[in-house]
Amino acid sequence: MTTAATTIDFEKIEGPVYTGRDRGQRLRVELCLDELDARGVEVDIKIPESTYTISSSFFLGLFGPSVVRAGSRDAFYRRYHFKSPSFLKEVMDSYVARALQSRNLFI
Amino acid sequence: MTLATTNPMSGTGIAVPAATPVTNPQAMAASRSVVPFSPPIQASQPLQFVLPSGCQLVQPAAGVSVAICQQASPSAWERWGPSLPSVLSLVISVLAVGFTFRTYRYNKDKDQRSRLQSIQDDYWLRKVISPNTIEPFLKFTTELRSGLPVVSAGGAPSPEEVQQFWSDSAKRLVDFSSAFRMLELLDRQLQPAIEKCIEGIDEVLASYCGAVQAQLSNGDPAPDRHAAIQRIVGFEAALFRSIQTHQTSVGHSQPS
Repeated sequence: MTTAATTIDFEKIEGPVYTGRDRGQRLRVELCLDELDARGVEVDIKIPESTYTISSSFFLGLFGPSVVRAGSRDAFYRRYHFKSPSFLKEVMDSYVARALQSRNLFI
Repeated sequence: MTLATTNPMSGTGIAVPAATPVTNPQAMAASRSVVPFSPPIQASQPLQFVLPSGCQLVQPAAGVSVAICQQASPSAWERWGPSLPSVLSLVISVLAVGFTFRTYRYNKDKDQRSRLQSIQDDYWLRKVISPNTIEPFLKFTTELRSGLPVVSAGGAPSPEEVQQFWSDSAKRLVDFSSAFRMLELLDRQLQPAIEKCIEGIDEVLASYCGAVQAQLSNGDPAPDRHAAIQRIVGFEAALFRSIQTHQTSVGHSQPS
């Protein structure tokens, strides 16, 4: 059973360049994403147009465990709703695919 | 003065002058000088018997004194000497068998290592992974370094161009990350090292392109392009070094 959506606004996070896996992981802890995942809460993510770049390691540090927990791209996007510039959507989509591939392909 | 002695080997009597010390009764036995017993001697003076070791004199109250010699116990050399060549032959034979077995094991291990190297290095690394992943990656990073956007007096890219350059390069890096997963077939420890290098390049790319966009949009100071290129080269070198280290270890250890 899901509860009301939570919003993560990147304008409140220091940018406009988002890099570093450690930074992403610290942010994940601050935003309590593990708890939100456990409760099945939907999350709205707002990324401003002024954002320049988001590195894969930052994204995976922040959202990687949530992607893996969701198990599929569609299941992840059903809970995490991104509002971002189009050029960032394509890049972040490739990061989601990479997070899913982190599971061993040869088992 | 002679004394009569009895050769225990042949029972032949041998007369030996009493003045001659009896040092080698066997030599005496081998002597072909055999004389019959001389008639008993009436001693007019005390007789002196000099007998070699192993001989003893039997002096009856009356009659002829008899020296009986026992065959001397053979010395250790005499006892074991003749069998020494046999012992040496046995030892050498055992060593030869041991070396043969060791050579067999060595050749077997060597063949196994060669086979492993052939499978991993000759086929998977050189024929599959390298042409489909390593070589394209090398080409990509060469183009990435030369194509890093720069604002100069001669011209400047637009923010959209920088955005496009970054997003295209970031997606390509994700593709390479997936392609390098094939290395898990060779060594599970290799892929995480490769992944770390690719993430490093991605970080440099995101930081640099973001700084160029900030320079174009806000007039921020220009980022250090040379330093960014050096860092990318460093991650490239680390990536190829990981693969090279794996190659040199193939055949020396089993893949994990």
